[in-house]
Amino acid sequence: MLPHIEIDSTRSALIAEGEHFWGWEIPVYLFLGGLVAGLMLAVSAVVLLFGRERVTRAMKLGLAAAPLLLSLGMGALFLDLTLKLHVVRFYMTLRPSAPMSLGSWVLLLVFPVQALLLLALPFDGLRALLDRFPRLAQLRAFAERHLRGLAWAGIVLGVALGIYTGVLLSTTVAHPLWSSGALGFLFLASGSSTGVAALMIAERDERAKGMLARADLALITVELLTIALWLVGLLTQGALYRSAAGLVLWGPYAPVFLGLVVFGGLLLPLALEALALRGRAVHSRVVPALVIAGGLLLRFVLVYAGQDLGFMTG
Amino acid sequence: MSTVSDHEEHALRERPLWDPYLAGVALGLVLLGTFLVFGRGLGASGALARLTALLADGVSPAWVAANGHLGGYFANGGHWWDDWLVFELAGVVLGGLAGGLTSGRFGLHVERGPRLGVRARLGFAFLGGLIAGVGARLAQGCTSGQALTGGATLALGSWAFMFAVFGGAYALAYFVRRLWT
Repeated sequence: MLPHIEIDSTRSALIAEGEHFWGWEIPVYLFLGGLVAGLMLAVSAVVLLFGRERVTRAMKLGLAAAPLLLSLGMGALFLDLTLKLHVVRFYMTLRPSAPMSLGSWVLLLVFPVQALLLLALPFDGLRALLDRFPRLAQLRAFAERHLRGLAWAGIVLGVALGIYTGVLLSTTVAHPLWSSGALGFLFLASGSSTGVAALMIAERDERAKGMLARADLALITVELLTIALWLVGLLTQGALYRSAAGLVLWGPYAPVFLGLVVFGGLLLPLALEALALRGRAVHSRVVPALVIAGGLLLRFVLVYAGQDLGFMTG
Repeated sequence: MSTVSDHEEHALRERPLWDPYLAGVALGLVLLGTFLVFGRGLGASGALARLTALLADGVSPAWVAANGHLGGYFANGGHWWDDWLVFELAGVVLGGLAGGLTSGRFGLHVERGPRLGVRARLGFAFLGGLIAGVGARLAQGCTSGQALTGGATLALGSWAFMFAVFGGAYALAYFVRRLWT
Protein backbone atom coordinates (compact mmCIF):
# COMPACT_ATOMS: atom_id res chain seq x y z
CA MET A 1 0.00 0.00 0.00
CA LEU A 2 1.44 3.30 -0.98
CA PRO A 3 1.65 5.81 1.86
CA HIS A 4 -0.23 8.56 0.07
CA ILE A 5 -3.81 7.77 -0.81
CA GLU A 6 -3.91 10.43 -3.53
CA ILE A 7 -1.15 8.77 -5.50
CA ASP A 8 -2.61 5.35 -4.80
CA SER A 9 -5.95 6.33 -6.22
CA THR A 10 -5.06 8.24 -9.34
CA ARG A 11 -3.82 7.53 -12.81
CA SER A 12 -0.43 8.91 -11.83
CA ALA A 13 0.22 6.10 -9.38
CA LEU A 14 2.81 4.46 -11.56
CA ILE A 15 5.04 7.48 -11.95
CA ALA A 16 8.36 6.61 -10.36
CA GLU A 17 9.38 8.88 -7.52
CA GLY A 18 12.24 11.28 -8.05
CA GLU A 19 12.62 10.24 -11.65
CA HIS A 20 12.81 12.92 -14.35
CA PHE A 21 10.55 11.24 -16.84
CA TRP A 22 9.99 14.31 -19.04
CA GLY A 23 12.76 16.05 -20.95
CA TRP A 24 12.81 19.08 -23.29
CA GLU A 25 10.06 17.69 -25.53
CA ILE A 26 7.21 18.33 -23.11
CA PRO A 27 7.95 22.00 -22.32
CA VAL A 28 8.45 22.69 -26.03
CA TYR A 29 5.10 21.03 -26.79
CA LEU A 30 3.35 22.92 -23.99
CA PHE A 31 4.86 26.19 -25.20
CA LEU A 32 3.94 25.71 -28.85
CA GLY A 33 0.44 24.53 -27.91
CA GLY A 34 -0.07 27.66 -25.81
CA LEU A 35 1.38 29.90 -28.52
CA VAL A 36 -0.98 28.43 -31.13
CA ALA A 37 -3.93 28.83 -28.74
CA GLY A 38 -2.91 32.48 -28.31
CA LEU A 39 -2.68 33.06 -32.07
CA MET A 40 -6.12 31.52 -32.61
CA LEU A 41 -7.67 33.50 -29.78
CA ALA A 42 -6.14 36.78 -30.92
CA VAL A 43 -7.26 36.51 -34.56
CA SER A 44 -10.71 35.18 -33.61
CA ALA A 45 -11.17 37.99 -31.10
CA VAL A 46 -10.24 40.60 -33.73
CA VAL A 47 -12.81 39.12 -36.15
CA LEU A 48 -15.55 39.10 -33.53
CA LEU A 49 -14.79 42.47 -31.92
CA PHE A 50 -13.71 44.58 -34.89
CA GLY A 51 -14.67 42.69 -38.03
CA ARG A 52 -12.65 40.95 -40.73
CA GLU A 53 -11.38 44.27 -42.16
CA ARG A 54 -9.21 44.76 -39.08
CA VAL A 55 -7.42 41.43 -39.54
CA THR A 56 -4.00 42.51 -40.77
CA ARG A 57 -1.50 40.67 -42.93
CA ALA A 58 0.58 39.81 -39.84
CA MET A 59 -2.48 38.24 -38.21
CA LYS A 60 -3.20 36.22 -41.35
CA LEU A 61 0.42 35.06 -41.38
CA GLY A 62 0.06 34.13 -37.71
CA LEU A 63 -3.02 32.12 -38.58
CA ALA A 64 -1.09 30.35 -41.35
CA ALA A 65 1.83 29.61 -39.01
CA ALA A 66 -0.42 28.19 -36.27
CA PRO A 67 -0.98 24.69 -37.71
CA LEU A 68 2.71 24.41 -38.57
CA LEU A 69 3.72 25.39 -35.04
CA LEU A 70 1.17 23.00 -33.55
CA SER A 71 2.50 20.21 -35.76
CA LEU A 72 6.02 20.96 -34.54
CA GLY A 73 4.77 20.82 -30.94
CA MET A 74 2.98 17.54 -31.54
CA GLY A 75 6.16 16.27 -33.20
CA ALA A 76 8.04 17.04 -29.98
CA LEU A 77 5.34 15.23 -28.01
CA PHE A 78 5.63 12.26 -30.36
CA LEU A 79 9.38 12.12 -29.74
CA ASP A 80 8.65 11.81 -26.02
CA LEU A 81 6.47 8.73 -26.45
CA THR A 82 8.16 5.48 -25.55
CA LEU A 83 5.77 3.36 -27.62
CA LYS A 84 5.38 5.64 -30.61
CA LEU A 85 2.95 3.50 -32.58
CA HIS A 86 0.50 3.58 -29.68
CA VAL A 87 -0.30 7.21 -30.54
CA VAL A 88 -3.25 5.94 -32.63
CA ARG A 89 -4.88 4.63 -29.45
CA PHE A 90 -5.66 8.21 -28.39
CA TYR A 91 -8.04 8.41 -31.32
CA MET A 92 -9.67 5.01 -30.88
CA THR A 93 -11.43 6.10 -27.72
CA LEU A 94 -12.84 9.19 -26.02
CA ARG A 95 -12.78 9.48 -22.26
CA PRO A 96 -14.30 12.82 -21.22
CA SER A 97 -12.98 12.38 -17.68
CA ALA A 98 -9.37 12.04 -18.87
CA PRO A 99 -7.74 15.36 -19.77
CA MET A 100 -5.17 13.71 -22.03
CA SER A 101 -7.92 11.99 -24.03
CA LEU A 102 -9.96 15.19 -24.28
CA GLY A 103 -6.84 17.18 -25.19
CA SER A 104 -6.00 14.78 -28.00
CA TRP A 105 -9.40 15.36 -29.55
CA VAL A 106 -9.14 19.13 -29.03
CA LEU A 107 -5.82 19.02 -30.90
CA LEU A 108 -7.51 17.16 -33.74
CA LEU A 109 -10.41 19.63 -33.90
CA VAL A 110 -8.09 22.64 -33.91
CA PHE A 111 -6.61 21.82 -37.33
CA PRO A 112 -9.81 21.96 -39.47
CA VAL A 113 -10.99 25.14 -37.74
CA GLN A 114 -7.60 26.75 -38.38
CA ALA A 115 -7.70 25.59 -41.99
CA LEU A 116 -11.19 27.06 -42.52
CA LEU A 117 -10.19 30.33 -40.82
CA LEU A 118 -7.18 30.47 -43.10
CA LEU A 119 -9.36 29.87 -46.18
CA ALA A 120 -11.60 32.73 -45.10
CA LEU A 121 -8.68 35.02 -44.25
CA PRO A 122 -5.79 34.15 -46.58
CA PHE A 123 -2.76 36.43 -46.84
CA ASP A 124 -1.97 37.79 -50.29
CA GLY A 125 0.44 35.08 -51.42
CA LEU A 126 -1.86 32.32 -50.25
CA ARG A 127 -4.90 33.94 -51.89
CA ALA A 128 -3.12 33.85 -55.25
CA LEU A 129 -2.26 30.19 -54.67
CA LEU A 130 -5.82 29.30 -53.67
CA ASP A 131 -7.19 31.00 -56.79
CA ARG A 132 -5.39 28.33 -58.81
CA PHE A 133 -7.53 25.63 -57.21
CA PRO A 134 -11.13 26.31 -58.29
CA ARG A 135 -12.30 23.15 -56.52
CA LEU A 136 -11.67 24.93 -53.24
CA ALA A 137 -14.02 27.78 -54.20
CA GLN A 138 -17.03 26.18 -52.55
CA LEU A 139 -15.16 25.54 -49.33
CA ARG A 140 -13.76 29.07 -49.35
CA ALA A 141 -17.22 30.48 -49.89
CA PHE A 142 -18.49 28.40 -46.98
CA ALA A 143 -15.65 29.59 -44.72
CA GLU A 144 -16.18 33.24 -45.69
CA ARG A 145 -19.92 32.95 -45.11
CA HIS A 146 -19.45 31.41 -41.68
CA LEU A 147 -16.48 33.47 -40.54
CA ARG A 148 -18.09 34.62 -37.29
CA GLY A 149 -19.08 31.05 -36.45
CA LEU A 150 -15.53 29.91 -37.18
CA ALA A 151 -14.17 32.72 -35.02
CA TRP A 152 -16.38 31.54 -32.14
CA ALA A 153 -15.09 28.01 -32.71
CA GLY A 154 -11.58 29.49 -32.66
CA ILE A 155 -12.31 31.12 -29.29
CA VAL A 156 -13.73 27.93 -27.76
CA LEU A 157 -10.95 25.69 -29.10
CA GLY A 158 -8.27 28.29 -28.30
CA VAL A 159 -9.41 28.44 -24.67
CA ALA A 160 -9.63 24.63 -24.53
CA LEU A 161 -6.17 24.19 -26.03
CA GLY A 162 -4.61 26.89 -23.81
CA ILE A 163 -6.16 25.51 -20.61
CA TYR A 164 -5.44 21.91 -21.59
CA THR A 165 -1.68 22.50 -21.71
CA GLY A 166 -1.81 23.49 -18.01
CA VAL A 167 -4.40 20.91 -17.01
CA LEU A 168 -2.12 18.23 -18.44
CA LEU A 169 0.36 19.08 -15.67
CA SER A 170 -2.11 19.78 -12.88
CA THR A 171 -3.82 16.39 -13.24
CA THR A 172 -0.47 14.68 -12.76
CA VAL A 173 -1.13 14.94 -9.04
CA ALA A 174 1.92 12.99 -7.93
CA HIS A 175 3.89 16.25 -7.96
CA PRO A 176 2.89 19.05 -5.58
CA LEU A 177 4.25 21.91 -7.71
CA TRP A 178 1.76 21.00 -10.43
CA SER A 179 -1.06 20.13 -8.08
CA SER A 180 -2.99 23.35 -8.54
CA GLY A 181 -6.15 24.33 -10.38
CA ALA A 182 -4.51 27.64 -11.26
CA LEU A 183 -2.11 26.04 -13.74
CA GLY A 184 -4.70 25.74 -16.51
CA PHE A 185 -5.52 29.45 -16.28
CA LEU A 186 -1.83 30.35 -15.95
CA PHE A 187 -1.02 28.48 -19.16
CA LEU A 188 -4.02 30.01 -20.91
CA ALA A 189 -2.91 33.52 -19.93
CA SER A 190 0.71 32.78 -20.81
CA GLY A 191 -0.20 31.15 -24.13
CA SER A 192 -2.44 34.08 -25.02
CA SER A 193 0.22 36.66 -24.18
CA THR A 194 2.90 34.78 -26.18
CA GLY A 195 0.49 34.48 -29.13
CA VAL A 196 -0.23 38.22 -29.06
CA ALA A 197 3.50 38.92 -28.63
CA ALA A 198 4.27 36.82 -31.72
CA LEU A 199 1.78 38.91 -33.70
CA MET A 200 3.39 42.10 -32.33
CA ILE A 201 6.74 41.01 -33.76
CA ALA A 202 5.29 40.52 -37.25
CA GLU A 203 2.86 43.46 -37.17
CA ARG A 204 3.58 46.52 -39.35
CA ASP A 205 0.27 48.31 -39.06
CA GLU A 206 0.62 51.03 -36.38
CA ARG A 207 -3.01 50.93 -35.37
CA ALA A 208 -2.89 47.15 -34.88
CA LYS A 209 0.43 47.44 -33.02
CA GLY A 210 -1.19 49.70 -30.43
CA MET A 211 -4.17 47.37 -30.10
CA LEU A 212 -1.96 44.30 -29.66
CA ALA A 213 0.28 46.08 -27.16
CA ARG A 214 -2.74 47.01 -25.02
CA ALA A 215 -4.03 43.44 -25.21
CA ASP A 216 -0.62 42.08 -24.23
CA LEU A 217 -0.46 44.45 -21.24
CA ALA A 218 -3.77 43.09 -19.99
CA LEU A 219 -2.74 39.47 -20.59
CA ILE A 220 0.62 39.87 -18.86
CA THR A 221 -1.15 41.43 -15.88
CA VAL A 222 -3.57 38.48 -15.72
CA GLU A 223 -0.64 36.08 -15.99
CA LEU A 224 1.17 37.77 -13.10
CA LEU A 225 -1.99 37.59 -10.99
CA THR A 226 -2.42 33.90 -11.85
CA ILE A 227 1.19 33.18 -10.91
CA ALA A 228 0.54 34.91 -7.58
CA LEU A 229 -2.62 32.83 -7.03
CA TRP A 230 -0.80 29.61 -7.90
CA LEU A 231 2.07 30.35 -5.51
CA VAL A 232 -0.16 31.61 -2.66
CA GLY A 233 -2.20 28.42 -3.07
CA LEU A 234 0.92 26.27 -2.73
CA LEU A 235 2.35 28.28 0.17
CA THR A 236 -0.82 27.92 2.22
CA GLN A 237 -1.50 24.19 1.73
CA GLY A 238 1.05 22.65 4.03
CA ALA A 239 4.73 21.87 4.37
CA LEU A 240 5.14 19.75 1.26
CA TYR A 241 3.43 22.28 -1.01
CA ARG A 242 5.53 25.05 0.58
CA SER A 243 8.65 23.06 -0.30
CA ALA A 244 7.36 22.78 -3.87
CA ALA A 245 6.79 26.54 -4.08
CA GLY A 246 10.25 26.98 -2.56
CA LEU A 247 11.78 25.28 -5.59
CA VAL A 248 10.89 28.30 -7.70
CA LEU A 249 10.88 31.00 -5.01
CA TRP A 250 14.13 30.40 -3.11
CA GLY A 251 15.40 27.03 -4.34
CA PRO A 252 17.51 25.99 -7.32
CA TYR A 253 15.04 27.26 -9.91
CA ALA A 254 14.45 30.64 -8.23
CA PRO A 255 17.04 32.61 -10.24
CA VAL A 256 15.60 31.44 -13.55
CA PHE A 257 11.96 31.75 -12.45
CA LEU A 258 12.14 35.06 -10.62
CA GLY A 259 14.94 36.63 -12.65
CA LEU A 260 14.22 35.53 -16.18
CA VAL A 261 10.57 34.44 -16.26
CA VAL A 262 8.89 36.90 -13.87
CA PHE A 263 11.24 39.87 -14.22
CA GLY A 264 12.74 39.50 -17.70
CA GLY A 265 9.73 37.87 -19.35
CA LEU A 266 6.82 39.64 -17.65
CA LEU A 267 7.56 42.67 -15.45
CA LEU A 268 10.13 44.31 -17.75
CA PRO A 269 8.08 43.87 -20.96
CA LEU A 270 5.02 45.07 -19.05
CA ALA A 271 6.83 48.24 -18.00
CA LEU A 272 8.41 48.84 -21.41
CA GLU A 273 5.16 48.27 -23.32
CA ALA A 274 3.28 50.56 -20.92
CA LEU A 275 5.95 53.26 -21.34
CA ALA A 276 5.90 52.85 -25.14
CA LEU A 277 2.12 53.31 -25.19
CA ARG A 278 2.56 56.54 -23.25
CA GLY A 279 5.24 57.69 -25.68
CA ARG A 280 8.00 57.42 -23.08
CA ALA A 281 9.86 54.51 -24.68
CA VAL A 282 10.50 53.30 -28.21
CA HIS A 283 8.35 50.48 -29.60
CA SER A 284 10.62 47.54 -30.28
CA ARG A 285 10.16 43.96 -31.45
CA VAL A 286 12.65 42.91 -28.79
CA VAL A 287 10.05 43.53 -26.07
CA PRO A 288 7.48 40.99 -27.34
CA ALA A 289 10.41 38.64 -28.02
CA LEU A 290 11.14 38.79 -24.27
CA VAL A 291 7.53 37.76 -23.56
CA ILE A 292 7.90 34.76 -25.87
CA ALA A 293 11.24 33.74 -24.35
CA GLY A 294 9.72 34.11 -20.86
CA GLY A 295 6.79 31.89 -21.86
CA LEU A 296 9.13 29.16 -23.08
CA LEU A 297 11.28 29.36 -19.94
CA LEU A 298 8.17 29.26 -17.72
CA ARG A 299 7.29 25.85 -19.13
CA PHE A 300 10.85 24.56 -18.83
CA VAL A 301 11.02 25.68 -15.19
CA LEU A 302 7.61 24.22 -14.34
CA VAL A 303 8.23 20.87 -16.01
CA TYR A 304 11.76 20.41 -14.64
CA ALA A 305 11.16 21.80 -11.13
CA GLY A 306 7.89 19.88 -10.81
CA GLN A 307 9.69 16.58 -11.29
CA ASP A 308 12.18 17.37 -8.53
CA LEU A 309 9.68 16.85 -5.72
CA GLY A 310 7.03 14.17 -5.32
CA PHE A 311 4.62 13.45 -2.49
CA MET A 312 6.57 10.41 -1.40
CA THR A 313 10.03 11.96 -1.58
CA GLY A 314 8.79 15.09 0.15
CA MET B 1 -3.99 56.83 -19.12
CA SER B 2 -2.86 58.93 -22.01
CA THR B 3 -1.80 56.64 -24.82
CA VAL B 4 -0.23 57.08 -28.19
CA SER B 5 -2.73 57.72 -30.92
CA ASP B 6 -3.55 54.60 -32.89
CA HIS B 7 -2.21 56.07 -36.09
CA GLU B 8 1.01 57.68 -35.05
CA GLU B 9 4.18 56.40 -33.55
CA HIS B 10 5.83 58.59 -30.98
CA ALA B 11 9.26 59.55 -32.17
CA LEU B 12 10.94 59.60 -28.80
CA ARG B 13 13.50 62.37 -28.60
CA GLU B 14 16.97 61.05 -27.88
CA ARG B 15 17.88 61.87 -24.32
CA PRO B 16 21.39 63.07 -23.41
CA LEU B 17 23.82 60.58 -21.90
CA TRP B 18 24.38 60.61 -18.15
CA ASP B 19 27.20 62.62 -16.70
CA PRO B 20 30.09 60.08 -16.48
CA TYR B 21 30.90 60.99 -12.88
CA LEU B 22 27.27 60.55 -11.86
CA ALA B 23 27.19 57.22 -13.75
CA GLY B 24 30.35 56.18 -11.87
CA VAL B 25 28.72 56.91 -8.50
CA ALA B 26 25.60 55.01 -9.61
CA LEU B 27 27.73 52.03 -10.65
CA GLY B 28 29.42 52.12 -7.23
CA LEU B 29 26.01 52.04 -5.57
CA VAL B 30 24.99 49.08 -7.75
CA LEU B 31 28.17 47.32 -6.65
CA LEU B 32 27.36 48.06 -2.99
CA GLY B 33 23.84 46.77 -3.58
CA THR B 34 25.07 43.47 -5.02
CA PHE B 35 27.32 42.94 -1.98
CA LEU B 36 24.38 43.59 0.32
CA VAL B 37 21.82 41.48 -1.56
CA PHE B 38 23.86 38.67 -3.09
CA GLY B 39 26.98 38.74 -0.91
CA ARG B 40 29.05 39.02 -4.06
CA GLY B 41 30.19 41.79 -6.33
CA LEU B 42 29.89 42.34 -10.06
CA GLY B 43 31.55 40.32 -12.80
CA ALA B 44 31.23 39.55 -16.48
CA SER B 45 33.92 37.25 -17.82
CA GLY B 46 32.92 34.46 -15.39
CA ALA B 47 29.44 34.36 -16.93
CA LEU B 48 30.90 34.33 -20.44
CA ALA B 49 33.24 31.50 -19.46
CA ARG B 50 30.19 29.53 -18.30
CA LEU B 51 28.41 30.24 -21.58
CA THR B 52 31.53 29.04 -23.40
CA ALA B 53 31.48 25.88 -21.31
CA LEU B 54 27.82 25.35 -22.24
CA LEU B 55 28.49 25.76 -25.95
CA ALA B 56 31.59 23.56 -25.84
CA ASP B 57 29.68 20.93 -23.86
CA GLY B 58 27.04 20.88 -26.60
CA VAL B 59 29.71 20.17 -29.22
CA SER B 60 32.09 17.90 -27.32
CA PRO B 61 31.06 16.88 -23.78
CA ALA B 62 34.02 14.50 -23.44
CA TRP B 63 36.52 17.26 -24.18
CA VAL B 64 34.83 19.61 -21.69
CA ALA B 65 34.79 16.93 -19.00
CA ALA B 66 38.53 16.42 -19.50
CA ASN B 67 39.22 20.16 -19.47
CA GLY B 68 40.23 21.24 -15.99
CA HIS B 69 38.82 24.74 -16.31
CA LEU B 70 35.57 24.31 -18.25
CA GLY B 71 34.84 20.84 -16.88
CA GLY B 72 34.90 22.22 -13.34
CA TYR B 73 31.63 24.05 -13.98
CA PHE B 74 29.82 20.74 -14.43
CA ALA B 75 31.58 18.83 -11.64
CA ASN B 76 29.40 17.18 -8.97
CA GLY B 77 26.22 17.60 -11.02
CA GLY B 78 26.68 21.36 -11.39
CA HIS B 79 24.88 23.37 -14.06
CA TRP B 80 26.31 26.13 -16.23
CA TRP B 81 23.92 28.62 -14.64
CA ASP B 82 24.88 27.84 -11.02
CA ASP B 83 26.39 31.26 -10.52
CA TRP B 84 24.77 34.60 -9.95
CA LEU B 85 27.05 36.18 -12.56
CA VAL B 86 25.04 34.44 -15.30
CA PHE B 87 21.88 36.16 -14.11
CA GLU B 88 23.70 39.42 -13.52
CA LEU B 89 24.84 39.34 -17.15
CA ALA B 90 21.25 38.67 -18.29
CA GLY B 91 20.26 41.67 -16.15
CA VAL B 92 22.93 43.80 -17.83
CA VAL B 93 21.46 42.95 -21.24
CA LEU B 94 17.89 43.59 -20.07
CA GLY B 95 18.93 46.81 -18.32
CA GLY B 96 20.73 47.98 -21.44
CA LEU B 97 17.61 47.23 -23.48
CA ALA B 98 15.40 49.17 -21.05
CA GLY B 99 17.85 52.07 -21.01
CA GLY B 100 18.08 52.16 -24.81
CA LEU B 101 14.32 52.01 -25.32
CA THR B 102 13.45 54.63 -22.71
CA SER B 103 16.14 57.08 -23.83
CA GLY B 104 15.33 56.84 -27.53
CA ARG B 105 18.72 55.36 -28.34
CA PHE B 106 17.72 51.84 -29.21
CA GLY B 107 18.91 50.60 -32.58
CA LEU B 108 21.35 48.35 -34.35
CA HIS B 109 24.56 50.08 -35.34
CA VAL B 110 28.31 49.55 -35.11
CA GLU B 111 30.31 52.23 -33.29
CA ARG B 112 33.46 52.83 -35.31
CA GLY B 113 36.05 55.36 -36.36
CA PRO B 114 35.52 57.39 -39.53
CA ARG B 115 38.10 55.44 -41.54
CA LEU B 116 37.16 51.95 -40.48
CA GLY B 117 34.64 49.72 -42.27
CA VAL B 118 32.06 47.71 -40.36
CA ARG B 119 33.72 44.36 -41.07
CA ALA B 120 37.16 45.60 -40.06
CA ARG B 121 35.68 47.11 -36.88
CA LEU B 122 33.98 43.82 -35.99
CA GLY B 123 37.19 41.92 -36.78
CA PHE B 124 39.26 44.14 -34.48
CA ALA B 125 36.58 43.93 -31.81
CA PHE B 126 36.70 40.13 -32.01
CA LEU B 127 40.50 40.15 -31.81
CA GLY B 128 40.45 42.56 -28.88
CA GLY B 129 37.77 40.51 -27.15
CA LEU B 130 39.81 37.36 -27.65
CA ILE B 131 42.89 38.93 -26.04
CA ALA B 132 40.81 40.42 -23.23
CA GLY B 133 39.10 37.05 -22.67
CA VAL B 134 42.39 35.17 -22.37
CA GLY B 135 43.77 37.93 -20.12
CA ALA B 136 40.68 37.83 -17.92
CA ARG B 137 40.99 34.08 -17.45
CA LEU B 138 44.71 34.37 -16.67
CA ALA B 139 43.97 37.10 -14.13
CA GLN B 140 40.92 35.19 -12.81
CA GLY B 141 38.66 38.17 -13.48
CA CYS B 142 38.00 41.09 -15.78
CA THR B 143 37.58 44.82 -15.21
CA SER B 144 34.27 44.14 -13.46
CA GLY B 145 35.32 41.21 -11.28
CA GLN B 146 38.88 42.28 -10.55
CA ALA B 147 39.02 46.06 -10.86
CA LEU B 148 35.53 47.00 -9.65
CA THR B 149 34.69 44.24 -7.20
CA GLY B 150 38.18 43.29 -6.05
CA GLY B 151 39.22 46.95 -5.99
CA ALA B 152 36.24 47.79 -3.78
CA THR B 153 37.43 45.21 -1.23
CA LEU B 154 40.96 46.74 -1.43
CA ALA B 155 42.44 43.45 -2.65
CA LEU B 156 46.08 44.04 -3.52
CA GLY B 157 46.00 41.78 -6.61
CA SER B 158 42.96 43.62 -7.95
CA TRP B 159 44.68 47.00 -7.61
CA ALA B 160 47.75 45.58 -9.37
CA PHE B 161 45.38 44.31 -12.10
CA MET B 162 43.77 47.74 -12.41
CA PHE B 163 47.12 49.51 -12.80
CA ALA B 164 48.23 46.89 -15.33
CA VAL B 165 45.01 47.34 -17.33
CA PHE B 166 45.29 51.13 -17.49
CA GLY B 167 49.07 51.04 -17.99
CA GLY B 168 48.70 48.53 -20.82
CA ALA B 169 45.89 50.52 -22.42
CA TYR B 170 47.85 53.79 -22.36
CA ALA B 171 50.93 52.05 -23.75
CA LEU B 172 49.06 50.43 -26.63
CA ALA B 173 46.62 53.22 -27.47
CA TYR B 174 49.22 55.04 -29.57
CA PHE B 175 49.55 52.09 -31.94
CA VAL B 176 45.84 51.65 -32.56
CA ARG B 177 44.82 55.32 -32.46
CA ARG B 178 44.13 55.42 -36.19
CA LEU B 179 41.27 52.96 -35.74
CA TRP B 180 39.32 55.74 -34.08
CA THR B 181 40.52 58.90 -35.79
